[in-house]
Amino acid sequence: MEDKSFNPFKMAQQQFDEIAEKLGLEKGTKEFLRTPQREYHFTIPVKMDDGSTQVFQGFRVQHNDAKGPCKGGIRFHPQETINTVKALATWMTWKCAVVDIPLGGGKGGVICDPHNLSMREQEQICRGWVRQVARNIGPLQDIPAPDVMTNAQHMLWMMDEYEKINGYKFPGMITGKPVGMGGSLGRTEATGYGVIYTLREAMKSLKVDIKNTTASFQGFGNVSQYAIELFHKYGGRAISVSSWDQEDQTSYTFLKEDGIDLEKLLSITNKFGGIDKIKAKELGYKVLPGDKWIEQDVDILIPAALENQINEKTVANISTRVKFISEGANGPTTPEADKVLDEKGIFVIPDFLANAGGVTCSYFEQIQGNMNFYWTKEEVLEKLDNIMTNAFYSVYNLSKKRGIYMRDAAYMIAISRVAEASKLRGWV
Amino acid sequence: MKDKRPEWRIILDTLEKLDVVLLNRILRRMIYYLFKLNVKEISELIMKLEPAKIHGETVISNDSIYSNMPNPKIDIKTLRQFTEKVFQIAGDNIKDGEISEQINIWLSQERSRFLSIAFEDENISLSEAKDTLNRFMKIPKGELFISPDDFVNLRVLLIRRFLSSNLNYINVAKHFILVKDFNRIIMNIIGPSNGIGKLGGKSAGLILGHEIIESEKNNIDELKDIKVPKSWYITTGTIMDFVHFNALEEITSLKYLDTEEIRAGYPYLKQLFKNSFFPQEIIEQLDNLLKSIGNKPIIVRSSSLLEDSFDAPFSGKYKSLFLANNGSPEEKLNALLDAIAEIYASIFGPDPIEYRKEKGLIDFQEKMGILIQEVVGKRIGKYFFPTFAGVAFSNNEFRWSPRIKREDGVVRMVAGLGTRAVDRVGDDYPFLASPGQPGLRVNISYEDRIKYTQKNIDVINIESNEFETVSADSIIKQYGNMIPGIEQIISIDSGDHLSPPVGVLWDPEESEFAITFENLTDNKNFLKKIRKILEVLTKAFKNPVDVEFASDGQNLFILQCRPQIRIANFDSVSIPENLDKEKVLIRSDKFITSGSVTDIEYIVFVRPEEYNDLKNEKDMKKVAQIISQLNKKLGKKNFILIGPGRWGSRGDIKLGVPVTYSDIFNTAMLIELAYKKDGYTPELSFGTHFFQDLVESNIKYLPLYPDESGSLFKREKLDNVPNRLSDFVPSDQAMEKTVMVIDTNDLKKGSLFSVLMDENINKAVGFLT
Repeated sequence: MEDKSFNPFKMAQQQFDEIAEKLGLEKGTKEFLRTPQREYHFTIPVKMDDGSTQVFQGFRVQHNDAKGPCKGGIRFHPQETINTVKALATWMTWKCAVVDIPLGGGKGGVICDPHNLSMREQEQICRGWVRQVARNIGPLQDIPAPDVMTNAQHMLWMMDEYEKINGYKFPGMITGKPVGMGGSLGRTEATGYGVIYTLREAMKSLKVDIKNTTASFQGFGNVSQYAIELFHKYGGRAISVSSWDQEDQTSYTFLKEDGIDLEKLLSITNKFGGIDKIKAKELGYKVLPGDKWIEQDVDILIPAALENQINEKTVANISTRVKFISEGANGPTTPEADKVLDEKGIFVIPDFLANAGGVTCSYFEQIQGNMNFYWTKEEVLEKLDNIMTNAFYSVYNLSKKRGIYMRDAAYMIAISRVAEASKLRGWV
Repeated sequence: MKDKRPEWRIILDTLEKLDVVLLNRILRRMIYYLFKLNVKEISELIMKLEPAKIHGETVISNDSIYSNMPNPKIDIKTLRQFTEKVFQIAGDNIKDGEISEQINIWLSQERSRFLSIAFEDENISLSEAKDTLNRFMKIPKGELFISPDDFVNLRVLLIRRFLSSNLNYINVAKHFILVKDFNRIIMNIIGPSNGIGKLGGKSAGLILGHEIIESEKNNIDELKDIKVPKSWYITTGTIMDFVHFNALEEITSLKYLDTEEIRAGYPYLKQLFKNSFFPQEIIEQLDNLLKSIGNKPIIVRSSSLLEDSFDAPFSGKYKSLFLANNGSPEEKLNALLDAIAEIYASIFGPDPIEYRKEKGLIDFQEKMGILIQEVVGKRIGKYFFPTFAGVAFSNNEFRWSPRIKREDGVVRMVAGLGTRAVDRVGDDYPFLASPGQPGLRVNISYEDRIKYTQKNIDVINIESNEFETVSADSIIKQYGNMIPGIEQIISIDSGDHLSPPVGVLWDPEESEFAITFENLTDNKNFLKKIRKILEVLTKAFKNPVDVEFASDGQNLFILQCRPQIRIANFDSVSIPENLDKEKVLIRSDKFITSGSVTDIEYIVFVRPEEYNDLKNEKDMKKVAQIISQLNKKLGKKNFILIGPGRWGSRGDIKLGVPVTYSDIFNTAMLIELAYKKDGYTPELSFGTHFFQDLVESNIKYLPLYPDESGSLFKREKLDNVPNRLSDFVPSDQAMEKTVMVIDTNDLKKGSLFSVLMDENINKAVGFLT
């Protein structure tokens, strides 16, 4: 009987197949790239707090390491499946490739529910996971990172176990660590800044002066906050931003036509990006329904909150003035909306390019860890700018030359790079 | 000439002349003594005393013959002969020295009898009680002879006079509250000196809890440093005096008015009480009390007779008021009198009266005692508050993981005054932990841990004399290290992870933080301590308990203790035995938490197979959007949600409808279905993702395992009624297949739906009414 349930790996393969078809990759290369190179399945026995033993199922998938060591998160999830891990590892390969950092794609996980585990038990799972794959991961092979339900603490346990096994210090074997314990400065800024670095270059390319442009943002979390900061620095003017209101359980759009004063707005914003609507009114903001951010008469839209926000329905409400969309969130635009945006001639910087500042900064964390020497925030951000700018141009140039949509161009360039690396190594 | 009679004979002969009553008591003791020594003659003598005729023959007496008729009376002359006979038997069987010694002990015990005699009268006045107890305590140790049974009797008399007439209470308390404890307690009792009345339920519970812990301190390390704040008790007699003094007698019948009338008149009544006068005697006692307290803030708490919760669940219905206790002596006294009057008035408040009517307690003559306690905490700047406070329950009714058992208990705690932990505060989150499973947390991810954290702290503002709620952030930033033990309750928030504050590496002014109780609960000592307290009290009470506590950062104080009958807003539920099978749609016997939802009009049912078959994430999210719209349209607590797997799934959303709290906040209940798949039953979420939101908004939760024996889910019934979805939201065919809105009226004409869950028998049932 055919399993009708949703298979994310199949979806990742279909996506790949479409692009591979367009690229005209030969059969062997296609076959090689659509399948992970290595999959590790193993058990992790843990002595639980009550003295009993529970055996957990662990995975690590290394999709492709043609361009360099694999990189990708470790997920703790009760309904983790190998297909999810394989799909995510594949997407990591393309994501690293589009910004052209010398890393491949990996992903791992453990079938477990941290809600039902004490911290001590989670520590044992982390250490057990490392013991099983210690020979197959490491700063020169495969560098894990935090993901669903894992955080800096889990990374430190894993690093410690890895170091114990090997007898040396390896801060570059894992990323997502706290600053001071092998973490990198600039991580909080990285994604938001990356969104604007690519936007800046897009406007330069289309000969639009970023000064005197206006933008509307969805979400007021980390990404938006730093994106607005940099956008303002370049002379742009953010005039509206939407934010979730915990109390009212709905979101609002805060509009100030003469421009947002970021510092003032931050002073009335809580940790979760929630803006105090009463104080905002006092500051002269118009408080509109949450979905109004997309309808603003601006030059740029930056969705930086949720998936599927620009869809069949909402795409119709986009002002004719809008010329750029830079996707800070993952998957904010549906394929149907993509078609409309393409027709309207709106320039879209696709998510896995625009928000790749995060993974790039993880790469920096690994490098700094390997050197055991840490850069200043300015150094990190300068290097980030270079990488994002270069990444943008290779995608843009391809898109322009071939007259293809930016999202397709980004995928094509990513897959081509990995195919090329595999070829040069003589693998395919 | 030397008297040849043995010493004991001389004593008895003297007594016969001087005190026949005493002689008779000595006689009775001698009879018991001879029985104890198994002296045969005494049994025979007693039997002869009660001859009985059955069918014309004299038979040996035994009590059962007379069980239904009075025993024949024996005349005085016979009785005197009988006395002589008893002592003769004694003289024949026991050495003279031993008899003399026994009689002397009994006579000494008689000397201490005045206390029990005095307290046989339940209406002994407060001043007489104090004097008598004082006199008793002054008997030098060497001269005090009381038999163990007399001691128990004495304790019972004292308990009945001051604490409770409830037999369940007495049965426990008599083992723990000693006569000497009463001597201490009585010094802190305030009331009319010629008045009667008890201390009320809350005080009785606290005193009992305290003494139980005291009695175990030497055996159990964890209890060694548990304290109770200084406490004073105003008797229930005081309110009666107050009422008479101000000629307010007619108000006692107010409780029989309609609730609406009571509600309308209550503001006036409250003012009437607040503007009434206290008898001078009470004022003086309270004035002295305030002098002895000094400038420490106090809490004035209700302690009514009905709050004696060994039987009737009655808690949290009356007021507790914080007083900064700052200002001139006159101001302080007026504030205290005002608070007491307000608590007195709360007897007649519409909510408690309504509740009493509901529970059949309305005819009880409710009287209000008052418990005054020093507030636990420190003065920090202009504020006064404990570092943390909360409430602990022996039975955990908020289980967030299947690994947590009911008897693992639960603690709800907050930084600052415990008011936020005791009451549900809509938009704020107390910390939850289970002492039996100290490692299992409700919130795991960084985002959840900072989202579901306490944002505001309740404090007493000493300067403005007010109870205030201030932002946790501002108070910790301002006072930081001045708050004792602050590093125990916060974690440093570095933007993407939380870490413990260590040494001088954190700066309250500079660092971002969240209240996580991580350090406090990580070393497990605190939760072990709480667990021990719950364990010891549960064992003594022979009932699960709930305990309020507070800590000034150094010591842990018990503030209140009572049997756990209900938790917070959960009323105890009992499932009717003989429900019509036809009407029952749901049964379950796994992971049940007590609670009920009734009068449900709509069941929103997400069909598991159809949901699983949805082709892409977009469609699954559409289901969530439809639920969100239904949440708005169907009305508050008017519907329940039934659906596959984990409601609120993120990441792999095929596991369950990816709703968030804002999409479902109006629902009365969330039911998660776990169908076996390839022999494997998926783990349910126990609502983890938004567990705290569910708890705080009182949304009931039930996991349902339809494939397991003991469970029942009549799907076919739901499948075979019309889908009302399109009446509420515009939808397409695919969605109609997946999401059903069922009008219970379609299931059975004129019916509503109810779900009752009783964790005591681990059963839940959902049925049409």
